[in-house]
Amino acid sequence: MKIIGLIGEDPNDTTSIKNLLLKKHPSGLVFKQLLRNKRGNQLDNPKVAASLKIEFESAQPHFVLFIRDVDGLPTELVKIKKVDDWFNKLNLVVNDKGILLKNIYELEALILADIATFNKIYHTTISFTSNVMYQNDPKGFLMQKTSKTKNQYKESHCPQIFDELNVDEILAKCSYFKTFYHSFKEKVGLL
Amino acid sequence: MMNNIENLHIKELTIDNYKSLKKSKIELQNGLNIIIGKNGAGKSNLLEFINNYASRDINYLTIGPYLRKIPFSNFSVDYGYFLDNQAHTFSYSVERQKTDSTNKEIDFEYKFTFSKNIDNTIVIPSMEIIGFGKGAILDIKVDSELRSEFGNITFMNRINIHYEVPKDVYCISQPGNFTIDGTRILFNPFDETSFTFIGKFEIQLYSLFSKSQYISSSKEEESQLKKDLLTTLDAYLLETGINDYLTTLTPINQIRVNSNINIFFRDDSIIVENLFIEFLIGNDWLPWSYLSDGTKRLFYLISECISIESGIILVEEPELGIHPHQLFKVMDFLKEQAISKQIIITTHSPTVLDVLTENELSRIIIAEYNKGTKFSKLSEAQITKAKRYMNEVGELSYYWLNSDLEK
Repeated sequence: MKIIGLIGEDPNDTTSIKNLLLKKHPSGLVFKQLLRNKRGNQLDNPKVAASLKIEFESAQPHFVLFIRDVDGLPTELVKIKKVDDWFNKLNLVVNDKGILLKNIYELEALILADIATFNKIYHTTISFTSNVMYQNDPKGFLMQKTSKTKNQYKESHCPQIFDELNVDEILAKCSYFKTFYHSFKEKVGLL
Repeated sequence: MMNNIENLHIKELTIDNYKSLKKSKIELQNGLNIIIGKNGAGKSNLLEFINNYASRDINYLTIGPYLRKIPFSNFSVDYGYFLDNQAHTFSYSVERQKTDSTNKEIDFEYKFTFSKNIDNTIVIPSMEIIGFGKGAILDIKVDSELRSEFGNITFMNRINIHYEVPKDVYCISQPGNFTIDGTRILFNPFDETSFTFIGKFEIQLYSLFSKSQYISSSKEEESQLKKDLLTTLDAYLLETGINDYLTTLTPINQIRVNSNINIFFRDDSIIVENLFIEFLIGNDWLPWSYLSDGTKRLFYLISECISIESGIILVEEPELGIHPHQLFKVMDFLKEQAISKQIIITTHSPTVLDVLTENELSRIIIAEYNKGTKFSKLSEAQITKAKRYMNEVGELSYYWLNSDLEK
């Protein structure tokens, strides 16, 4: 049984990615939130590094997944560098055992990659054929598309939605997730 | 005759079948105890139980004329205290057994068991008292030596500071009006059970009127009595030191007794009307109704805590309605008060934990509901981690907020 630590916006991002990965790997992996109840802006707090050190040494995970929204497109290099810097700093704390899932633009881009499942859950007929990595504000996009429906999309729905998403669809349509998943499998020892 | 019993406090309590408390055991310490746990874990049930049963007057509970109706199966309490500089313990347990399948309360049997320990050795054999029926104890055999010692432990002060500030308290939220006949206060407006600080006014008034110098019912005497009454109560307020605490911990700078008290003689009685406390905030003397809910609760908490010199103080969520900066100070205040009292706090506020030092982590008690409320202390691993949070992150509260303190 391999313990995999999770750091990110909690619980939405961390639980969503956990649910997604468990669909591919239903056994043999245990995901552990290393820091609970964290919002995005709190992850930059210096206390996060000090806390992470304690939690990492206490939980002794096989490796650690760092999940962070870029809040920008692949062309916004400053924002991408900011997330990379954040990861590099914290990766030192976990003895270089981290891998980064850098969500471009944000987590909801992965939902756009499997819009059919989203439509099924929300009884909508949203069509999305563009490159998900170039959709500005995918969260706002989904909220706007469901604004007049009875069941309007909300960020807090993510963990349940990710429990339903088709991982292969996401791998096919989202190159940054595919890159991340390759690293993940390598760390788990599946490659 | 034994004297000088100090620091009487509950060491251990086992309760079965009281609300969520089912075979629930809790170890407590003299001084500060902080109980944390999720909503519905049973924290408030514990405080309610202690308030109603575990800290009662020992003699009243055991050999008084009536046994209070106890709506649960059984419990046992271990007390710790110091006598002649030696740590002692004694315990008693109550068992209620149903003896009739019809489930009628009349058919319950009560059984009390006492024992006393010195240095973990039982030096007086256990004593049992058995009662039947609706609560009257029919057969009591009191061991003289044991009775003598229990006679010194007859009363354990307790104060229960609830979520809500008591309403309709005379002399606080409404004027106190009463009649004194000789040294008796005929209409007693002081509800000591809900607001001890105000309840203590009664003692002051007894002291004043027992002098019995007011006999002629002249206007001069009425005026003198009013003056004496105000002097007595103001002296009491001064003696408690409450104004110092209020200035430090609340927006209230000072309290005083309203000077517009009406006093007059009727027949052989003295009538006192319109007695209430006023609060100085800024430059204004205000009545209770003008205070904010948070200020009222701060006053309630502080005044109750300083109303007893020893005993148990139960505090439900001290953080309610209180600014975080004030809460920090309030926790320091409670810790200071806990030097001479056993204070048991329930809380949902991580800031409350930050009052503890590394050596006080055993004062945290975790409540969780798992087929009944269970209480536990931090494990060794949790204590190690908590110390790291205190040293490396700077705050114990961060551990509770972000990690597995409650697991």
